[in-house]
Amino acid sequence: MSLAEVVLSLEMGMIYGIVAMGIYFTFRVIDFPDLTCDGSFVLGACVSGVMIKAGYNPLLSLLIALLSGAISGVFTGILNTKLKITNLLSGILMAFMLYSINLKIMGGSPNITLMEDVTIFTNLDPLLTLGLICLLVWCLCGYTLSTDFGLALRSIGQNKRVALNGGVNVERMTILGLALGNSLIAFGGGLLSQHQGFVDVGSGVGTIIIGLASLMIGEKVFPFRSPWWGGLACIVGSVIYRLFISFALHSDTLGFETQDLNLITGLLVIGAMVLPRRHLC
Amino acid sequence: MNEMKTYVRFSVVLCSLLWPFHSQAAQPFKRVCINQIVTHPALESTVKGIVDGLKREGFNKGVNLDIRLESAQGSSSLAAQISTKFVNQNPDVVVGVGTTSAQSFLKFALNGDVNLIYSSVTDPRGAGLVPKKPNIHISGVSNFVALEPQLKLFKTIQPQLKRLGIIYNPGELNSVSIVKKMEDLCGHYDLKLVKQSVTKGADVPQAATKIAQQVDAIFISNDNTALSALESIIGAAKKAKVPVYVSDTDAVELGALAALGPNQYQVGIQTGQMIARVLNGKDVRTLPLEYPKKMDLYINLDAARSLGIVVPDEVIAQSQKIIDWKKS
Repeated sequence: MSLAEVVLSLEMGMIYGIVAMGIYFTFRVIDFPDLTCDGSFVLGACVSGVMIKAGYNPLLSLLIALLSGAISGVFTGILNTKLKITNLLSGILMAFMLYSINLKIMGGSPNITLMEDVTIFTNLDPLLTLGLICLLVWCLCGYTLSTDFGLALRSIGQNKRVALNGGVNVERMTILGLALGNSLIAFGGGLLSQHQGFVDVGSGVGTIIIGLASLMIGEKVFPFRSPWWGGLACIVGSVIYRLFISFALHSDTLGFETQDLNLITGLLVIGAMVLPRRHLC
Repeated sequence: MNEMKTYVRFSVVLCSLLWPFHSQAAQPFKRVCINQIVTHPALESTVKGIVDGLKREGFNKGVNLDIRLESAQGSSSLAAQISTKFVNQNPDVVVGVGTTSAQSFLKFALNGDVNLIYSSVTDPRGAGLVPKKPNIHISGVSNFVALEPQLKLFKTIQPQLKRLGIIYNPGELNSVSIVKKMEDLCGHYDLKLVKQSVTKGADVPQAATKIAQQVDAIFISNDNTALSALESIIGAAKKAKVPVYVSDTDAVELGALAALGPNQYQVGIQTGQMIARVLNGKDVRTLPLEYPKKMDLYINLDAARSLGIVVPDEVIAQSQKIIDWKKS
């Protein structure tokens, strides 16, 4: 495995680490199995891509992508809390509808190239830039979850009834949690499209699987329950997952074939999961 | 203590995994790395064509050629990791089969790190594979199918044809550009294009049944989603007594009435020959983008008979392959 592959694994690991943090917000913090992410990931990519094509600043495009993700999360939340649609179905419906919306945003074309446009990686070293962005996002998330607001948010993931009795507006917190989670996922989508130089409407398929696998690998490595550790677990887990794929891509030297890739990656993830369980702190 | 042990174990596992790939000795032969977007019969024959095309030009796998193939299984992030792996193996040429795979090499080709040849990309301009900047190491073979000869063919076989249905995935750039061009052309041929979009293979049976009621014929271009569920389209069309035309010649044996298009295998051969030129020292920058040289016409007379369509003799005379179980 060459250095460049390790670097790419780190870069993509950090991008998907931010996505995993979004999934951490929904699945762990507010305990909401949110499947919007397959759609909101591409939504972020589309918004960022279209804005770059229109000549806007790439950094601004990422912020708008983040906002668009938050809006999609709010809609999922409204479907669930106001219209009383079950949590799984709300996310599925939202992701489903976002496919058409994403195509609309891209003007009917399923694929946009950003190769010859200015992205945030044009003049900056991707590894360093992503490292800084990740650090920033991690600090912001950790801090947010440590505030009173963050505690209220976490309380509804622990026990909704107790939270309600404690004066927490559970519906509003659910919507806000979904908005925060999906904004991070869309931000990750925008980052990936700028990193890869193109937006493809099919690129969101399996985001949930990648994110959850990363999150769970990370939680094995850092089995601590504080939100600061949780965020770090997402990034580290995601990098490990990417390294596993990079490694599995080299399994041809061991006599495996191309189609065995998913099997090898899966086995490596299983290996990571069955590492001896440690006591929680 | 227990924690320490786990960490040690974890890092030992990781190190031992990485160890065997630390160094790879440079080989005397030419190296070609192929990144194929998805495993799919049409793309498989393209890849087979590439290997055979290289063989024709004297590059034999295992003799003087090291050829490496990975499939990205339809995922763009996996395609990116495969491309990075390939670029770091010092290939003489990297090949992107399918739009997204080709795009995943684009970054490296624009930096001048590799020679990129793409294949089976319908709209290379739309995909950014024909850069505006000069002196870029990219060229390739598009599988764009000229639409006018196809429309003429449909009109020759079915002179009363008025409403032509097309089933496509709005998520595929290839198909979207073809539908756009079709809409412009249909007016000239006194046809009305009825569009039906599908987003995944599972949607195809319903979509096909619906559209078969509304049209005189169904046309399937090189849309991966529609092609992967072609049997259900042909089944639905058969029930409604409507013929299916395709651009992929291999699909005629499945029951489509006719296909006028490039043979995917031939596209592969053409790509293979282009790669060979680069391996022989030709500069990629001097090679222009190529389109399929030859169009094949395949006719399925069994399908025609069951639909009560009489295929004109002139069409039969032009065809390269006729499928007719009664005669054979």
